[in-house]
Amino acid sequence: MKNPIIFDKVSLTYDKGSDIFVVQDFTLSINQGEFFCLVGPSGCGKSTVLKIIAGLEKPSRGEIKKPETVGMVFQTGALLPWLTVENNIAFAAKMEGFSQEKVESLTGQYLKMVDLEQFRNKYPRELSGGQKQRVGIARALSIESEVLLMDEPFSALDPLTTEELHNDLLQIWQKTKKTIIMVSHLVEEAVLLADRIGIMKTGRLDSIVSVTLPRPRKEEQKEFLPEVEKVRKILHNQ
Amino acid sequence: MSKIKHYHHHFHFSYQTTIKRHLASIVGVTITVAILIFLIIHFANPNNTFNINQISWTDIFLASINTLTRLFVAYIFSLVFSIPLALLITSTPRVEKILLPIFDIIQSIPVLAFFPIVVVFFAINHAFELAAIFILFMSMLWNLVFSMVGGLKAIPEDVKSASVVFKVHGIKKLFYITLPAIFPFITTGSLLAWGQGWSIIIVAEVLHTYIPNGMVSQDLLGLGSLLVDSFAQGKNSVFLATLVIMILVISLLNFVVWQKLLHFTERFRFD
Repeated sequence: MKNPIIFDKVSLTYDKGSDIFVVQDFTLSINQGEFFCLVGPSGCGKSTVLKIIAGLEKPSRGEIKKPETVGMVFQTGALLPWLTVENNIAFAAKMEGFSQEKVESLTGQYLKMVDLEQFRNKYPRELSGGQKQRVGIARALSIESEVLLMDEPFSALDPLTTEELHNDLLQIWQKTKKTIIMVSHLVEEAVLLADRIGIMKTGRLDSIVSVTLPRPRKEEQKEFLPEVEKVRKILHNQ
Repeated sequence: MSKIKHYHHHFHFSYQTTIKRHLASIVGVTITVAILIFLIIHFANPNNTFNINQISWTDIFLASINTLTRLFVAYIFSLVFSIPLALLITSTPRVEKILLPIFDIIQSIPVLAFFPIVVVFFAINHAFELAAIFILFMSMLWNLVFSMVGGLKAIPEDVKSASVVFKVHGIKKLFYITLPAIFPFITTGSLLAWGQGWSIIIVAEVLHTYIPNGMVSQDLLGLGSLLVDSFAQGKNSVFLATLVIMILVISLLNFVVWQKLLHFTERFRFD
């Protein structure tokens, strides 16, 4: 199996020569088509790992293998308020260098996938939080990268919308067979979505838990809570 | 059959709109070019001599056009200079640490303090018009620069990251992300700049007070000089008429340009 992303003892520090590492000796291989979730307390470096994959940060030490193009969904959506829903998606595809016809067909395709066709001419401020994140997902998909990064994309949404988006994201993942790496601060979310969960503590990858629950998963399932507890125990050093 | 009809109707409709659009753009371009030619000719041979004892409505009209043109030219220059300056200040934290205090000091020195030197310098070269525009430019520049710096610093981190992830670099970044993102700040900065310009115009056109042994005839015809000179000569009716026209022009500008622009900026604001 091909590994689109391989970290080999990657470390990152903001001050050269300093011993304070934001990410330290991070080694991890992510499988193609895998849904990988990074969890950990605030400031543990999980978002920084995502930034390294996105090319927003350069490792101070170690090696990383990653595709040149990666799509990313941001916590705040990061949509451009002066562009319509359609143009926000098309903009990313256009910057990727695709032809006009391809930009149009990709935009139409992903607008449909995130179920926002009737909102194509609306502006971001006219959308709900959930709809904005859908646009963010469509935009990240439109550049046709095999890897999709998600930085706590649902943390600002209400539980009902989050549940809806979880289901939609899983459907999109199954349809597109993308490799998804998501940062979350909710263990339940990670167990619900991920194949494997990476638990981070103070810049280091503490351990990896494979979620063995069959899909589709539901929080009401009796096997769900023990799985959550298993991850929590590692997280809290018990 | 109905399909053909529909198609024909649609075709006809779009054909008509295209013609209308073409006509509208031709008319628009013609008017703009005509105004530009008028302004260039007018400014190349400025009719700045005026007799304060014989001021007609035509003179006040001409004065309004002169003043507006001076403000507009100075504004365009300050806009063109302020964008790279603001980008330079915010380029790296280190540059900002050095440049921001320097610019802060420069902008807090009152523009009018060095106006006499500017006037004398330009007067030697008989470029009175440039003296006025230069001083207006200096008074407008900093409002724009500091508004833009505020705007650049208010661009959300996620949006900056998104522009890296989606490969928006260089000139594309400037036109597709940076300038639209700071558009509301450019607008408020421009509003302040024009306000400042209107205050300074009262002085910028009255050059004779800054030239050693200067005479009223050395003043530039404009709303500012009309106000000052008519008041000094006790021409109360000219003073009042000029004041009313000035208020009208400012109100019209506010209504036609600034209110519309401010409303339009809503679309460019981040949540």
